[in-house]
Amino acid sequence: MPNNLPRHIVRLLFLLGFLLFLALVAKSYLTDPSFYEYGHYRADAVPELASGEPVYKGSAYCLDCHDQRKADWSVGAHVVVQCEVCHGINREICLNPGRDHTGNVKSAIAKDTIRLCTTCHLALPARPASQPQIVLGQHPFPDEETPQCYTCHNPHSPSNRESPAEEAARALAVTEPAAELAEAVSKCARCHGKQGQGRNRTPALAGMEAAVFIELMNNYKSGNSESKTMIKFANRLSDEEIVELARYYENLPVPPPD
Amino acid sequence: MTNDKKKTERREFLCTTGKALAGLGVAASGGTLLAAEAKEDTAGLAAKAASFPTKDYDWTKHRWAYGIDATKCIGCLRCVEACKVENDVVGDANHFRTWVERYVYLEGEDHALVDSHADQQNIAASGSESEYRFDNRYKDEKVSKAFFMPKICNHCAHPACVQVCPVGATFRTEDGVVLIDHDYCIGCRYCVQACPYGARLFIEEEGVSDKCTWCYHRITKGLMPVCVEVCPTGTRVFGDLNDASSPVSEFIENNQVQVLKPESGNAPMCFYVGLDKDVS
Repeated sequence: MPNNLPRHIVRLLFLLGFLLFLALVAKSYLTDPSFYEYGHYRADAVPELASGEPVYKGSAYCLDCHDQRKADWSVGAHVVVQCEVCHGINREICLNPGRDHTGNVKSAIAKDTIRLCTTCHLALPARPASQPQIVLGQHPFPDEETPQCYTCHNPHSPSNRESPAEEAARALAVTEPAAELAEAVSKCARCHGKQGQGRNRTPALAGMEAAVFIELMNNYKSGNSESKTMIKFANRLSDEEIVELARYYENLPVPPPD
Repeated sequence: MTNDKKKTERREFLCTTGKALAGLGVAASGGTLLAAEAKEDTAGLAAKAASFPTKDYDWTKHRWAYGIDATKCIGCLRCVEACKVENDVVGDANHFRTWVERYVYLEGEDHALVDSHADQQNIAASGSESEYRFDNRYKDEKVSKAFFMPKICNHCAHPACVQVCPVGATFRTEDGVVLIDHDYCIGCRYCVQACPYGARLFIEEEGVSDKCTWCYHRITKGLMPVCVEVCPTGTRVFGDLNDASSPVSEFIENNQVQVLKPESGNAPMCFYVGLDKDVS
């Protein structure tokens, strides 16, 4: 057959063969040696892609140092919001084991909390009803030049209406009752709260005027009430104990308005 | 007379040698091609794949999948922002590895109005191209139904993007993650065109394609992808299908799930709860 092929065809075939040879040589030089190891791709790319350093550290990392936040954040409704979502990430932390926060790309404490909080809490038609939402024009903001959400809402535990500052002040101000009152106070505290702040339907006692306290307790003692519980408790206390309790609760800091 | 004979002999010798070389060349190329084919066939086998080139992580032990419960999404876009920060994605409104769409049915309308945070109006509402929020354009309208729909690369089991890549720059790993080798990508964007979900993007400055990697650098270390980690409502779940107690296995078991565009044949590995007729 080769003898019958016209010469120009034969030359073409030689040329093609030569080009094919060149292509194979080029391929073996240009292809990465790890290509085809696992498939039609460069196998070395996989460990390269897996080796990146994570940027987001996760809330556990922040709580390592900021453990005073753990108490309210971990039990509040915002436990689902990670620290870095509101407080920003710090690329520097990855490189700086001393946990230097100066490279933070966001301001650590938001300057405009209305803008920050409405990111999730602005009422939008597409948001599911289970998400607490506010309509800006209808929400009672504090009467300040730049109102902030944290004036009324604890950002780390939003169901607790006190701001972190108020909470701290109240914690400092609580006095321990005298030894003989301690037992009585602990019984009241079961419903009225350790700081007399009240709970759900149980009213707050902290800051109540002593005269009012005494009158209410006397009413209970005389059975003049619908609350069988309070009648029972009042009758267990002597008049002197009631006066002491009244004085104790009068001096406790008033909880913020509901 | 002798010269002619010599010339003929020389010519014949050259012709024969030339043909022999050409023949060898063809045979050699055929041989290497076949060998390469054979290598590709065996390459997928677990035996080879078990020797994953990074220590501490065995890719044959995992089968990653993703879940989205769109009924929970509040459109806060923390996932979008987190992804951009974690993965150093271009900070404008044209490059997203994951994004959220909003579907709004006004009263009396049969079809949804669709917008995403990359919409001009939403960019104006947020104030910049690198901050993301949805605006409140429907606050005075009568809306009968509305919801958010997060979207992400589906890391399909039979990805069209991998099939069309001419150079083998995009591929699917043994643990089910579709990745891009930026060193090999030539920037032809055939994959961007091929993806039925619009999940792939092109980075102009680098001249390569890019897409969600399910934070491969995190999941190989036992962490979650960042979008899953920051989502406050539990809309996004991720996990190992080989582990029955992983979030995604429980998600699939406890919900009636769907995928986007099942007819495309891509076999996506991102499972949705709350898809709607107008979502594509």
